[in-house]
Amino acid sequence: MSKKITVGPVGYMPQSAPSMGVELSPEGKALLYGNIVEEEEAMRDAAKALLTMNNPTIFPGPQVLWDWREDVADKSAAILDLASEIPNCKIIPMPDYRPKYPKIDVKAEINPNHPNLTILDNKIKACVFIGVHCHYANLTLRMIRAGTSCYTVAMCAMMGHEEAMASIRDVHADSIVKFKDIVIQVRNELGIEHTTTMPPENPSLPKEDWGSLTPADYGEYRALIMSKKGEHVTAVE
Amino acid sequence: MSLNYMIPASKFKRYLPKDYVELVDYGPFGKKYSEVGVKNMGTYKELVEEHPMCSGCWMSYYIKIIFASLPNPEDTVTIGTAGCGRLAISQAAVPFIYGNYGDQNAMASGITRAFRLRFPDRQKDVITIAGDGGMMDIGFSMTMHAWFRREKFTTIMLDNEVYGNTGGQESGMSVEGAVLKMSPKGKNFGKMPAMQLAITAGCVYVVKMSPTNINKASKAIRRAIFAARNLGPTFIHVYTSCNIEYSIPTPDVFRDAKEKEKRSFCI
Amino acid sequence: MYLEMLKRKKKGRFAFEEFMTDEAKELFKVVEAKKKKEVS
Repeated sequence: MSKKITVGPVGYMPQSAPSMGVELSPEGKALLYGNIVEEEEAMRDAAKALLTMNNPTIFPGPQVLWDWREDVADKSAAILDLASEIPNCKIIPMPDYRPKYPKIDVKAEINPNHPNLTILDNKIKACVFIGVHCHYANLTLRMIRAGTSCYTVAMCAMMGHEEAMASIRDVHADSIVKFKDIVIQVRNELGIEHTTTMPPENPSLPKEDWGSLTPADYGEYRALIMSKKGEHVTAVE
Repeated sequence: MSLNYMIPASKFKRYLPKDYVELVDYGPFGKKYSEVGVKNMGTYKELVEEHPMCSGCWMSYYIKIIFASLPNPEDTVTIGTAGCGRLAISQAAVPFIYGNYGDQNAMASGITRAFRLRFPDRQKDVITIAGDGGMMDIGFSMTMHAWFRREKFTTIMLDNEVYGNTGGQESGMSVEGAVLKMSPKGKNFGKMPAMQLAITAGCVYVVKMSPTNINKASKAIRRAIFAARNLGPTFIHVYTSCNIEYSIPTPDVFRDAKEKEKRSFCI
Repeated sequence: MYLEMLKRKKKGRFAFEEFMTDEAKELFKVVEAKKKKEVS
């Protein structure tokens, strides 16, 4: 099998996969390195990549993060089960598509307009995109292929993506469960020992330590919280 | 686009970034206006907080007021076009659509009609927010025709009297004689009468103001949105100075807005 | 600037130009009445 779509970095302004002759897979099949293969073959390769490469990460998109449809609950539960079976797996969400100015928190989230920042900063070598709208997934996957050395897996609820190394189409909760089973199978074949552990929560979430705050932390607004000369503050909220 | 889009899937809440969790817990979505709104700014998570605008930008302040005044943020769509404003508007936690230069009102017409067909039982607000260039120069025909057609949405013009984003060219809304970086001889003709044009074109509610008072500014925005829901096009022409191109020192921006209010943005 | 505004205690006169059609005027009257009702 010749690899048409390879792990990057393929360089600035890469040739798009469709122009290289990659076609979307028919129903029941999948894409692996731009070739149409059986779904299981693609899943096995993706599982191997997730289990053997550094910092495997799942990027859930808005379609699975927000409770907008009935099937979201099943899908999100299946994604978390899958993540718990991959050693050292992290979840970095893509909650929406707005550009992040002035700076994105690369540890906490990924943005479709500059996904390479999150991937390069976290040294991610294998990732799964799931629940990202197709038009943004295409853009993001090509950007990742262009600028990073990350193996991309696209789990698409529709027709799949040419730009990903492994693209699985028509993914719903049951296909995620199937993928999880294949991950466990491949893990056992490779002899990797792992106990089911949930991925760590978002690093931006731990509460701030208000006890160590000083007026200096309030910058130009510190005058508002400091008592004035001769003023005695008795009431405390 | 609806309240469901603001509720995270239960299992995923602990994986969301802090910003989003706060928006869900303390944001204005699904709350009464009396609990949120401009009067309570600072006590809840606002829709737009970080933005890349210049220091002392009066426009970014007004954009904050716009988003704090929305009666139904979960059912609102904003449409903008090239210019400084969209840099902050696109940061808000409200769906934002970016039009090609000047076609924001044409797009808003289509979106408003589509919403009325798709969600006949729900009230969706469409607001176009663009600068004076996008609204009165390059997008002039599309703005006027949307008003002539009596399209039911709100148009807000952030008038900074200059093309601030591209280096200081004069715009149709610059005052007569304004000397700018790219018009060294000064402007030859006066400000376009945007308010009169809007009234003639059939807007049901038109305001021209310099937003020095938060409550008045908010009231005008909310009135414009309510009128647009029921009656027809509404227009707010608001002075939001460009302190970079007009060389206004940051501490004097408010004073400048007050002066404008007295001189040209009053009856 | 925002702070400056918060600090301003004295209510000044705020001039701005406003135009509304008769229909809009009626509508706002209804909205205001509704608001007053809710408050009381």
